[in-house]
Amino acid sequence: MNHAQRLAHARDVLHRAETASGLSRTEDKQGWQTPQALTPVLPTLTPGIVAIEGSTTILLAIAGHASAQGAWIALVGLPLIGWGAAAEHGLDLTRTAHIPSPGARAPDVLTALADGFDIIVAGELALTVRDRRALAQRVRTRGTAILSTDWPTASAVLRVEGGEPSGYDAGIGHLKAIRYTVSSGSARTSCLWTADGLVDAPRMLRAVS
Amino acid sequence: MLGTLRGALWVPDWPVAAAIASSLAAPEEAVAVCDSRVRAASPAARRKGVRRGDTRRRALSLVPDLTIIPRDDDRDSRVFAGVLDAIDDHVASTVILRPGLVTFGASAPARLAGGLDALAASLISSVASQAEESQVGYGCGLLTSVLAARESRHVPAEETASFLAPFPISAALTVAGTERVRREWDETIDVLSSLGITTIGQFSALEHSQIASRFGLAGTILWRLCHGADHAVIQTTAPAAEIAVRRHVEAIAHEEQAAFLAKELADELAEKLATRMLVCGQLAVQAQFADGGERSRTWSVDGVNSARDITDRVRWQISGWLDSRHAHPLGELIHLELTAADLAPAGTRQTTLWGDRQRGREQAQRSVLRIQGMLGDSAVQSVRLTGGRCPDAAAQFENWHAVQERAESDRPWVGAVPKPWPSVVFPNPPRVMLACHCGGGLYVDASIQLACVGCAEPRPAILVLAPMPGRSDSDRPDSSQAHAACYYSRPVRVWNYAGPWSISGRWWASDAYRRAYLQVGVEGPAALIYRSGTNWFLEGIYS
Repeated sequence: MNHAQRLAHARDVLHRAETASGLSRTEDKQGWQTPQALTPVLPTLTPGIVAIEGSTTILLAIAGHASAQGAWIALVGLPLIGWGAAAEHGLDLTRTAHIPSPGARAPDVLTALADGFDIIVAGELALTVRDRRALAQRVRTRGTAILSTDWPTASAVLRVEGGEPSGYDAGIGHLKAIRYTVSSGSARTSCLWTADGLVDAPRMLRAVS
Repeated sequence: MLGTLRGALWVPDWPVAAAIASSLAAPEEAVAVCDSRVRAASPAARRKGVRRGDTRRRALSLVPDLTIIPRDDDRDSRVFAGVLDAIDDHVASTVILRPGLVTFGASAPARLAGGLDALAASLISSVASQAEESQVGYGCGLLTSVLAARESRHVPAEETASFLAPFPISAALTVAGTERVRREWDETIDVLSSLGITTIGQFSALEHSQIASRFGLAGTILWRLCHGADHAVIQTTAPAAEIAVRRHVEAIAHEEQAAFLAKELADELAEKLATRMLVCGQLAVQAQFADGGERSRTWSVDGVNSARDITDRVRWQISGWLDSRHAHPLGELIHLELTAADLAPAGTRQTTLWGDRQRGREQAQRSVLRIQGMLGDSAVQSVRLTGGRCPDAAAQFENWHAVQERAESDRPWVGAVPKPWPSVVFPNPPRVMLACHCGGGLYVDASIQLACVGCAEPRPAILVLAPMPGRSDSDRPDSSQAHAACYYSRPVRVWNYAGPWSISGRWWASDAYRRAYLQVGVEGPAALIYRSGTNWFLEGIYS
């Protein structure tokens, strides 16, 4: 056994030990875990492009959950992010780059980011259909995931509806939870964004008249 | 007991020399480097009676036109790096006692140079090429060599005791490595002088056991030094110096030519780093352009010293500059300088044993540098949470720098806007109007209650984005306003609301504010608005 083989062997042993002891959770399945409440619609975040339409909160929740697992994240073209909320979602700001306005060079910027970051969170960017196709190819080979608010040709699309706040009435109380319904194709789930993070929504009870 | 033969190189009045080298003063002037007391004075000032340790006031009373330069230890070390480079050509390993004073083992370099005097001559001439005057002396042991350097002489081993004897013990303070050691020795010397022992001769005549029992370790070290023994000083490596390569070139306007230049300089720098077995933590690229403009940028590079890494960074940088030339005509590139700073011994850094499964700092850093080359430094930002009572004050932006650890402020802010916070926050809050069900405008009265101009039962019914004021937005398009318009393009019904709460924030700073916050549930995503002065502003959206 030469040195390289021994090192590879050592890594393999450590790798197995880590997985067995539960230190690393992303070993068995590829990709990043998504928040528990969203697993029915998006089980894992794999390389490719996911469009999330209708809610910045859900976008941040997925990115933040991956960041908490160690992902390097770049936010491009999202100048209006609420960073307080982002941090509550688990976003580790030491591993986060923020590029508020890439302007006309957005394709180059995304290409460069695809080489170095695990997840790119993209807002509205000046991209042609050709750019988008080239980028989609590139992120798949580089193992990068793009979460976008606006990507017509995305491989997965999450539609978020709702956003009803609760917790207050006529000036009393304060906003405690926001209810979202997330759908992807035929799958559908409801979740609540609270101060404790994204949780499964309790069944909505309807008054029967 | 006698130590090895050591040499010492001393540049008199180093703080003054460093100030002159940084063009802060002219050589012939009377100059003093002071904090509250005079730290060093130029010969011209000394001739008029200014002494080290004088108060500033006294120095000024002696020499009214004295040029006073504030003390700056960084400057001292930085300028001294040039002198060290000059010494490095002759002596392999040096011990820096402080900027301006260096000692080294003399025997081997002297053999190489062909004698102690030849070594001294070549050292002095090398340092003189850095425009500094220096003195070199030799002696056995640390203290002897340093004191010999002050007199520019070589003290043979057998004369060590007789050479040291007449000096006051306080002369030993010059070899104190740190401020703490210096204080300890100072106390010891104080006690000794009150016992009537003032010179090194008297001190070294005492028995070691007596010194050790009375003065402990500090006394023992001092006593051994006064006997001409060696003592390991704490700083044994060069201070964080810089290594620079520079090149004047014929005007370069094309990226390809620039790439060749980058490669050449990067190779040279990598070579220099490799021969010194160092890696750099920071790489500064400095360029001058034909029209006299200068650009420089410092990158934090994580333990990089391979030529390829340096080339990449420099190439991206130069092509970025040459590219932005169209916007800001800089002319052609005529001078390029690369400086490696924040040096550390190579090999102290290694990749993790189990490999980098995910991408890490280095790859992220590399892509960020490329983007900074394209768009400029400020295009990529790091976000830092500073904490605060309202969402728009919670984050601070800095130009990107990947840092290892960062203390996050995680303590609760009393009286903050209740969490969860809005996921969209407007840096420049757009103005909104809140109308009561009766149609009148709503405001917040003195008792922090909603009040209406038209009726006695205020209840918000309509939220509408105020039209853009024409004058400020014509020259600067405001993305906050445009984005807010996507959500609230027309008046929206208010279903419910919470608040108002009064929040008084940043009262310790000049940008203090006092606002009354209101959460409003409307058609579409809920909004967080606040009243400040006579207007309502949209702070964020719970999107």
